[in-house]
Amino acid sequence: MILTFFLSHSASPHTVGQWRLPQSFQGFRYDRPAYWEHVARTAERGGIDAVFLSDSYSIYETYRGNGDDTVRFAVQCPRHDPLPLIPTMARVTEHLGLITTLSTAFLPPYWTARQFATLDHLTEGRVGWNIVTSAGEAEARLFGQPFLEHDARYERAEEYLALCHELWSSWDADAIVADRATGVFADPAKVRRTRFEGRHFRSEGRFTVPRSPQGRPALAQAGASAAGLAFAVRHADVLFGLRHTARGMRDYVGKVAQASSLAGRTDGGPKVLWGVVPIVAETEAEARRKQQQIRDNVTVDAGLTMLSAFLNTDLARFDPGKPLPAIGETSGIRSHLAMVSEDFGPEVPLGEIAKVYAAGQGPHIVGTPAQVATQLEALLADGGGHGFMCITHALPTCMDDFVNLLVPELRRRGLRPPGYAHHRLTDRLAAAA
Amino acid sequence: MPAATIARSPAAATLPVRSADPIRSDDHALEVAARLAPGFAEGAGERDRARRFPEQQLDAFTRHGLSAATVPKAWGGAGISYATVARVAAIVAAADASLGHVVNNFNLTVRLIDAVGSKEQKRFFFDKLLQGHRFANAWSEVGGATPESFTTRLAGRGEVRRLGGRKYYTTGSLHADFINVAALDEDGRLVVAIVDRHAKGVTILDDWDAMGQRTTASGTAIFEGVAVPAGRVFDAALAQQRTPLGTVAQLGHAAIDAGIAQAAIAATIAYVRTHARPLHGSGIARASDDPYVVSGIGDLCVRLRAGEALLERAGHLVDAAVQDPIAERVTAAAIATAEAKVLTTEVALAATNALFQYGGASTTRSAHGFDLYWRNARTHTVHDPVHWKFHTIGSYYLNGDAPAKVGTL
Repeated sequence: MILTFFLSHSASPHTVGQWRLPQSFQGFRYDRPAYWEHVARTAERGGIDAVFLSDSYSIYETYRGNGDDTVRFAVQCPRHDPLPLIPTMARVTEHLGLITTLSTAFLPPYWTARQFATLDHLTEGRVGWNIVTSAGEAEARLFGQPFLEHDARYERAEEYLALCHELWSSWDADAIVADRATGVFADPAKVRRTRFEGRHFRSEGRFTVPRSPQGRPALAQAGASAAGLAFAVRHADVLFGLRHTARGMRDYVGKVAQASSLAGRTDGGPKVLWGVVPIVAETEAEARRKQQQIRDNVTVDAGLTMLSAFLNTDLARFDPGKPLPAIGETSGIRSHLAMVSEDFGPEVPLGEIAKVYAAGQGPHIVGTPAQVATQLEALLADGGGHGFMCITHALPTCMDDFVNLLVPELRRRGLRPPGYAHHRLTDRLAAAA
Repeated sequence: MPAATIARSPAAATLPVRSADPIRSDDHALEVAARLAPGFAEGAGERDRARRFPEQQLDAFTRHGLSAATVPKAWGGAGISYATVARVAAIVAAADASLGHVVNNFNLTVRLIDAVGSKEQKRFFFDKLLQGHRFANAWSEVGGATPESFTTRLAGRGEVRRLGGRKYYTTGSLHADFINVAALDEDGRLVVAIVDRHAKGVTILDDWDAMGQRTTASGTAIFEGVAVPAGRVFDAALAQQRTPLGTVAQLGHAAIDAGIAQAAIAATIAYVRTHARPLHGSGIARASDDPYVVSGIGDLCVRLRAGEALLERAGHLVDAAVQDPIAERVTAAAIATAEAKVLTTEVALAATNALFQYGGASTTRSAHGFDLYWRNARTHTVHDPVHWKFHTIGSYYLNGDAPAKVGTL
């Protein structure tokens, strides 16, 4: 199974109120390098395939029409930019994959291509790009740019990727000869001029970064709408799925396989990783206690803040004691709407769903190392997919527990290898069964 | 420095990004075609001389939604009538006959997908068409092999199968995004595999070198172990039963000849009015008063109108056969299309020839490039042997024989 850690450059990455827990941060500050070096070293010690940094360019402002609760309860706020964390974590690791989120909505493709080519060199083939198309008007307002509707965002993203690929492959792999005797560093015949003229983007000239170790960053995506999935299967090595039932998981895996087949993909399609919140401890009682701590920290308001942003609709107008009424298609993140409708069913009160979101979004996997390992194995067996995106609940100690307690058990069962078999992140992801 | 092998994006990163404005109705399709036609005609002679594919013109055709006009309304298309398809095809072919042939490909593509595509395949491929992506057909094999004896094979039975073989006259494939390849599967059943133009194992040769229709890029296509996932495979044998695939293609071809005739007649009229000189010593003041020329042009126009009328009739019968492919409708559409093709073949050959006769000797000057029409008509009309059309038609009326369901493109 593939294992990744789902993080963000924030005080409470994905579980609201995480920052309040005594075991959170432990003398580190989330916004300083020492913390991220610890995270990286720990992950590598546990042979984790990659860390995955999520991001959004704005704070959530949908609930109650403002961002006050977001700021008040630190609902994924503050948000520092995750890109500079890549070199920070790369310097203290050798094998760990480093995936960061960047949107196609606002920054020029040329700039993005240059960042990732440079980072792929600096990480020696370990960088990844989680492609998002940006779902929020708040983000567009901060950039001072127009907000595109859903399908237009994917059309733009398609062009964005096409240009990036052209730039990344414009230096032949053997363009650099570095011949001291003749003084020739690189062969101009092997460095092509890009001439890209699209509806959204144009670019003309020679890319300034030579072919990097992977040739391109590993690519991740989380789209589950029809347009999002079509885009994802064309480009992604790995997909992030968030489902709460085995049936929901199988349904998603089926959709991915079908879309991959239609797209002409013959490698079986992108690998699917499920968002889960592993809560592991030496004893079951201890693990349950940790879970209760998380639940105690979570408020309905904090959950609705998150959910309102994901569905792009202010849920303050609904009674949290009642199920969510049909709100129709929103231009928000369609995957969340689908998941909420299908996995929770029509009877679960909105407030309960909100608390699940606030408590990490994904299903809690609670217990001793043996219990958690069994549950993870069963999830893959029943639902399909290739591994997990482990959502944190008390950084950094929850990651320490995962690596110290759970990884040895997974290795013992042959579910995880003893070390890293592939150096390049793209190879590692492609090789996973 | 070690050479790093490029890790290409998993799926076809080389699929161009395309977008198109949708066609809204039959009238809209005709209006758009008429508006684009001068742009298609411009430079056609030059392109023919240089054997240069009408790239910008095809781009304009797809960008303005014409390639997706027959996509059913339920899937976001205009679902235009095949009578309109024929008129659009003639308008395009009158401007540039090679382009007319290239865009014929789209008609068959839509019919195939509509007839046997799953919901997901329809959504995926109709979206591609609506976005303006290009499709080409790879059907013919050497020696005029029929589908039963195709050597192109889709091997294997798993989720991913392998395509291998060689196709000829693959019009437009060199510049397409997707290629519809006809092959036999493991059970000897006719299938179409829609492959990416740049998929590993696909090689298209730029070896089309005919005297006419020079810029159709109808070269050889070689497929070597091309990996084809299940989502890209269509049951063509079933499609031929469910929809008049071959007839739709034939209708398009008949329309091309009507277009060539139209252009040749228009060129003749323009030349006679402005350049031609009356026969010396005949006493006739202007070439346009020469009774033989007047009468001759009248004759050509009648025959062109007849061809156009039969095309329209055939188009409506094809609509009926597409809507409900019962035997009577399918047969009626096939016979009507064959009848139209006979007339348009004959008038295309007659008109492209008569241009020189009625315009006089000076029409043969290279600068005029009037041989273009003649060469295109002469080349395109032998796409199918016209004497066999007479036979098919006669056989139907005399002996009640329904025409064979051939997918001749």
